[in-house]
Formats: sequence, C-alpha cells, structure tokens
Amino acid sequence: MSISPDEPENVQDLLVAYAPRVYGLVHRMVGRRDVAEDLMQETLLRAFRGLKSYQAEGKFRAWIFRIAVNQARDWIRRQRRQAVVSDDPQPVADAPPDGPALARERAQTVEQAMARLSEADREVLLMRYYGDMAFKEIAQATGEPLGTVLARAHRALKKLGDLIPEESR
Amino acid sequence: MTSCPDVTEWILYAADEVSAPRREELARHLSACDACRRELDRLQRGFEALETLEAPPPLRAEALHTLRRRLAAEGQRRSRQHRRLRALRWFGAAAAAAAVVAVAVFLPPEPQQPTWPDREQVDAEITEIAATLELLESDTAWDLEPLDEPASRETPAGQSRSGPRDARTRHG
Repeated sequence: MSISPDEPENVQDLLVAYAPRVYGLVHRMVGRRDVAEDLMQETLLRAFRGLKSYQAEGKFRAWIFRIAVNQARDWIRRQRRQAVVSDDPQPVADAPPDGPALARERAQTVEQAMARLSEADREVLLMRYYGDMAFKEIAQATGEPLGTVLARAHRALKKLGDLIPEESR
Repeated sequence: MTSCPDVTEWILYAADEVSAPRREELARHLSACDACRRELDRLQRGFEALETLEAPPPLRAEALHTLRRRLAAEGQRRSRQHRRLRALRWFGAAAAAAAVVAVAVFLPPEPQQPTWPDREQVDAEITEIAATLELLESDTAWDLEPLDEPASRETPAGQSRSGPRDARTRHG
C-alpha cells in the first residue's frame, strides 16, 4: 500500500477506516469504552502526524497497530502507577453484555484466562483476533522475530484451548 | 512417517497462513500422526476460545465524528505550516539572489591583468625601429641639403660646412 502524505484527505479517510479495529483491539486491552475511544483517536492522530516516519516497506496496518498497542500499554502503566500511589477506587471495566448464560459463563472463563496470560502473549492473540493480522504482521508490529511471536501464540493458545472441553467440538 | 514439524507450524496451519504445497504436506503428516493431530486440535480449541470472547461495545458515532474533526484540524494545521515553510523557502531564495546582485554591483572591480600587445604588432614596431636605425646609420641619412645660411655667417671660401659625412671623408 502506498501512502502519500501529499493527499491528506485520502489519508484521513484511510485512518478513519481503521478506527473500529483499533478501537476493538484497544478496548480488549484496557477494558473501558471511553478510554478505548480516546486511545483510538490518539493512535490515529499520531499516525497522521507521523506519516513521514512510516517505512513504506512495512505493512501500514502493522504500523498502526503498533502505535495502538503502545498507546494502550502506556495507559495501563499509568493506571498501575496511579493505583500504587492512590487509594481511590479504580474505574471498573465495562460490564459484559447480556447473553445466554452458558455462553456468558464461558466468555468470562476465557476472559479470566486471558487476564492471566503475560501481557506480551495476550497482545499477540489480540492483534491476531481483533486486528485480523497475520502472524508475520504481528512480528512487524511488535518488532519481534516471527519465531518469538509464534512461541507466544502457542503458549497462549494452549492455555485457552484447555478451557474448551474436547467433547464440546 | 516424516518427522513431526515444529509445533509453531501448526499455529500457522490452524490460522491458514501456510502455502498451499506446505499445507498439503502437513495434512499428509496429520493423517499419520496422532500426536500432531492432538496438538493441532488443542490449538484450534484455543482459537475457538477467542471466538467466545464478547465483542467490545460498538464504537460510538460521536467518537468517529470527533476523530474526523481532529484529523481535519490537524490537516489544516499542517497545510498552514507547509505554506509558511514554502513562503520561507521562497523568501530565502529571493534574499540570496538579492545578496548576490548586491555583491556584484557594490564590490570594487578586481584589478585587471595587464594586457600584452599583439605579438605581430610588436614585431612590426621592432622592425620599423630597426629599419629607422639602419637608415640613420646609413650614409644617405646624412645627405642633407645645405641650409641657406645668412650672409653674415658665410663660411670662408674653400671651407664648407660639412656634416659628419664630410668629416668622415676628411678623416678617411
């Protein structure tokens, strides 16, 4: 994909088209709609400002998601620091929507398992699932070798796979 | 049976990120290897677990509208910055050109190199001088008509006013 910073309106439309995916990924990381919407906007504005630094040989999507993941990580770190120095109650994550009890229960189990994954392992799955990124793109986005990304995915998928009983398939 | 592929290759297989020929090879291996089938099944259940996660609440139209507004404002800011930069560049180029002109006009001219006369002209002049000298040296140069003397200053008879020629003749 070729991006021409000389055509700002085209670029703006392109960035807006990424908004739902970036929002989905970031929401899964931070767990709050208002924060995810803010971070999505910051991500795409940063991308717009930093278009000149975008290396054309890389995938544009991977570049955008790398910015998004970094934004979400920074926000999570800030929250953790504030949690250490403040006794204020932390904002709670969005409540899961209503749905069939069994599906909701399973979703909560998977959510809990996801929460127990290491941050880096979890991000690989989120980028694959919400960003719809190939593992090669995830490697580009995280700056890690493909082998490392696959090892992370393997570790995380095995843990999640154990949550789904074999007979249920 | 061929040796089992690396477990990470089953992830690419489950995610449909392997080439068609490799996919065929892996499928052949699967049909003969229980261990790899179990491994793949576990990974596929992991992908399935991801599917059970609740989708995030939909992105609000208001957030998209704000994003568009902020991007447009940023675009306008960049355009203004770009125009200012272009004007600055133009002004810089014009100032540089003016400086060059000013230097050309107001600096004293460089001392000129002495111009040498044309060689042929010099030769001609030398030849002419040499010819003149030769003429002067020759006898004919002194073969002048006697000047009309005033009567009071008439020389005695037999004694003529003589020039160098006569003198030389006498000495000779």
